Amino acid sequence: MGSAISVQPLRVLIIDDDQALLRMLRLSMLSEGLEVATASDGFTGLEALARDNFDAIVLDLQMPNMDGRTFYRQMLAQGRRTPVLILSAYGAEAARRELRADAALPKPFDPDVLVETIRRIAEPAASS
Amino acid sequence: MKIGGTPAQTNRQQENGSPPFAAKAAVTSAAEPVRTGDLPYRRLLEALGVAVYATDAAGRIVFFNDAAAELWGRRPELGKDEWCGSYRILHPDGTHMPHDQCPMAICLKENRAVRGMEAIAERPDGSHFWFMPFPTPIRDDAGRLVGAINVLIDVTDRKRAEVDAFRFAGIVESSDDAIVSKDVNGIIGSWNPAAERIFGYTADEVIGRSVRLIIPPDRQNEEDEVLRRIKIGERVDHFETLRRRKDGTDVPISLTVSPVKDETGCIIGASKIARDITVQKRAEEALHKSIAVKDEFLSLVSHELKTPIATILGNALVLLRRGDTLPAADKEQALRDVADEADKLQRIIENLLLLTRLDAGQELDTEPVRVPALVAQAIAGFQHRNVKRPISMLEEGGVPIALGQPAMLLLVIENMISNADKYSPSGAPIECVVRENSEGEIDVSVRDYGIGLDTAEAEELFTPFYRSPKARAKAKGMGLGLAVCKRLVEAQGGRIWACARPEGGCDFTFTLRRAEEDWE
Repeated sequence: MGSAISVQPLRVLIIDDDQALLRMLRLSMLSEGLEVATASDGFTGLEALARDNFDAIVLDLQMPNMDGRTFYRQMLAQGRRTPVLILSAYGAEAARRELRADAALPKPFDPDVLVETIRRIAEPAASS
Repeated sequence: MKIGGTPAQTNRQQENGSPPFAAKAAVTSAAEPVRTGDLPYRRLLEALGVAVYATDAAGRIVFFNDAAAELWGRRPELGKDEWCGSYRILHPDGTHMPHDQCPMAICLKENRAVRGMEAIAERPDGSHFWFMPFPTPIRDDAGRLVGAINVLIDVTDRKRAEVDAFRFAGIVESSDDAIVSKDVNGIIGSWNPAAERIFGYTADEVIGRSVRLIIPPDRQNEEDEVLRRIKIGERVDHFETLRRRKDGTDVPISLTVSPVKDETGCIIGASKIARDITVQKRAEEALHKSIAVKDEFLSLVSHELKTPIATILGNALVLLRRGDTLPAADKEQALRDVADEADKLQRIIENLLLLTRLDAGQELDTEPVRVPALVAQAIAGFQHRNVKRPISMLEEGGVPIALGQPAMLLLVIENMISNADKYSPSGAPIECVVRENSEGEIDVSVRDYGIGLDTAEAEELFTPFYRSPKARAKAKGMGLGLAVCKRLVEAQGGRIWACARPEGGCDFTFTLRRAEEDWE
C-alpha cells in the first residue's frame, strides 16, 4: 500500500473556488508528500486535465463559471476516468451517488482523512 | 267529444240526478242486458290510456276507467264515492283540499268546465302524483246538468322536471364556477353570473357569439380539440388552461366540458364549467418557490458557513500535527487564513442575526455621524484584508453631519464594499463617493466596474437570499449583504438603491437624513 514515501508521488488536482481552502488543501497534501495542482473552477480544471495526468481529483461542487457536476460530466465525456473525491458542505454523499464518483467528504473534514481517501481511490489507478 | 244520455235514460237520471250515460252499464252486472246506445262510448273510455271518470249531478262517481283506478291506486265505490276517486287531494302548495272543493266539485256546483288547475293526489299507499283535471259538465238536451266527466292528466314527470330545472337553475345561478352552454360549433347559449364575474363579459354581450372570444390567440387550437372531442361524445375533464378576460388579462382556469344530448341521444352542444384557479395557482407557485428557497438557503448556509470552518479546522490540524516541519511562510499564511476565515464567519453570522432581529419597519436609535470618517474607516479595514484591490474615497464639497448609528453604518458600508469587490474583476477599482444631494441629505455611493446588473433585478437585489443569475455565475455568496444593508439603512430613516451605469458597472447608493443645524 502507498505511503508518504512512494517512489512516484501521487499527483492530485484540486478544483475549488475558495482560495483559502485551496491553500489549506495544498498545504496539507504537500506536507503528506503528494504533488498538487489547483484550479479555481471547472473550466480551468478541464484545462489542467488536458495538460497533465493526475492520479486523483478533489472536486468542489458549488463554483462559479463551471460547477463541479458539469466538470465531472465533461471529464467523462472526454473519456477521462481519473478518480474523483467530491468535497461539499451540502449533499456531498448524495452528489457522489448521483455522479457515481469514487468518494465524497463533507466539509469540514480532517485533512488526514482527506489524504487517506485520496490514496485509497488513487492507488489502484496509479499502480495499474 | 260530446257525451249525452239517451232519451230513455234521461227521465230516470233527472229523477235521481244520477248517471248521465254509462252509470247503469258500469254498475250493472254483465248478466243485465245493456240497453243503452252508449256502450260504444263506455268501451271507448275504458280503452283510453288516460284516466277518465264521470259523476252524476250530485257528484257521485258513476263511471271510471282502469287508467283512472290505476292513477288513484284504488277503485272507488260507484254511486257512493263523491267528486273524485282519489284517496286524498292536496293543493299545489301541499295543503289539504277537501273533496267537495276539488275541481270536479267546482265544475258541478258552478255548472262550468274548470280548466287550468293543478292538484296533487295521494294514493292509499302514501305515494303522490301531480295531475291536471279537465272536469266538464254534462247537460241533457234541455241544457240541464246531469253530471260531469273528468279527464285526469298525470303531470308528475313534467312537474319533477320543472322542479329539477328550477333547482338546477338555482345551482347554476349561484355557482362560483362559470357555467356556460354552447352548441356544437362553440356558439354560446347560456352564461351564468359566475361567468360574468370571471370573464368580465355580461350574458348579453356573449350569448350568440363564439366561445373563442375568451380564448387567447395562442390557445385557439384548444377549442378545436374540445369541439372534436365533444362531437364524438367525449368529455374534457379538469383541463388547466388560460382564458382571456374582457379587460385583456388572462385568468387560469380548470375546465370541464361535457357533451349535451337531446332526448334522442344526439349531441347538440356542450356544457362547460370553468373554475377560476388563480388563488390555487398562486398558492402552488408560492409553495414551490418557498421549497426552492428553503433548499437553496440550506445549501447556501451550509456552503458559506462550512467552507470557512473547513479552512480553519484544516489549517489548525495541519499546524498542530506538522507545524514544526512547515516553512515559516506557509505557517504564516495558514494562520492568516484562519484569522480571515473566522472574520468572514463572524460577518455572516452578524448579518444573519441582524436580518432576523431587525424586522422590516423597525427604527434604530440614531445620533449625529460624520459619514466620510466612517467610509474612510471601512475602506481602511477592507484594504487591510484585500491589499490588491484599488479602493478610493471622494468627498464632494463639505458633507453635512448625518443622522445614523455609527456601528450599523460601518457594517452597511463594509457590506457594500464587499459586494462591489465580489463582483469586480481583479484589479478593477472601487470608488466610494460621499456628497450632499439636492435634498440636503447625505449620499454614499459605492461605485464598481464589475458585472453590472439588469434594471429588472435592481429591486430584487435587496431581497434576503436573492442572488442574480449573473452573480451566481460569478461568485459565491448568500445574498445576505445587500438585504442587511437595506434593513439597516431603512431603520436609520434612509433609502438604498442600485443602478447600472451604461458604460458598465454599478452604483450602489444610500442616503441618510441630515442632522439638525446645531450639530454642524
